[in-house]
Amino acid sequence: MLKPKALPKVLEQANSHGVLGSLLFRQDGALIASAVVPGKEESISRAVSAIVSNLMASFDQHHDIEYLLIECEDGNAVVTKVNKLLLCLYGKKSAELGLLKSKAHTIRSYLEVPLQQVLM
Amino acid sequence: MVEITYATFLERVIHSIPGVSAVVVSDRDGGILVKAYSNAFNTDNVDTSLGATFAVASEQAGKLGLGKNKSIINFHRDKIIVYINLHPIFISFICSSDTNCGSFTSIVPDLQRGLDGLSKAISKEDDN
Repeated sequence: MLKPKALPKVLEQANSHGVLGSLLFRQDGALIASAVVPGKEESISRAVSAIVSNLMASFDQHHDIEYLLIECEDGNAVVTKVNKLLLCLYGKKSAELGLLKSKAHTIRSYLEVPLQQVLM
Repeated sequence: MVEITYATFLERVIHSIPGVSAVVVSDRDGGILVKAYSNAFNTDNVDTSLGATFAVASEQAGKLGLGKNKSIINFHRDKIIVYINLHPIFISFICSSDTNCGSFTSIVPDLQRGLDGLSKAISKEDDN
């Protein structure tokens, strides 16, 4: 059985080398778990999950997107699906898209089976 | 000096990056300005709403607190779509799933130079 308190600790492991936050949320934007670096406000997580879920819904018309990579002037973000949920990692410019994608892939692989048991 | 059309310029871009099948340049309303396809590309595969979707998405992505959005890359099961924001124009590349996405970072200055006239014309229209 999945332990909800363990989720932020799992997400936190991605927060290094420029990664500012890792979020797990529903496809409607409702936040399930988040981990942000010290100094970052937790409230930002809700805003990010809302915006990113909207982006995913816009692009994923055929439900076949595996990764969404977002490059901005001051930072990057990567989004992927974990069963019926969305996982988003975002960071400073120093957190390159390839690094974010690899971290997202690792967390996704780790959470896929436990979350499947919960979400069935 | 031989002047080339925007379509010819985009065809050269297609040939310069292995895996790129189509390029569509659109304005912020999604209206297609110019497009180019490789010979093998099936034009039925083009979703004409690509540009409109990206223009809106790019604006939203700019509110993530990471600065203005520069590009978005979608990894689909069987293809990759690369979107580049060169406001006021937006460029969409449809590519095969093994395309090297890093290549697009290096061609952005060339795209800006090559499509500068088009970009300025759209800016003027927006100002009027």
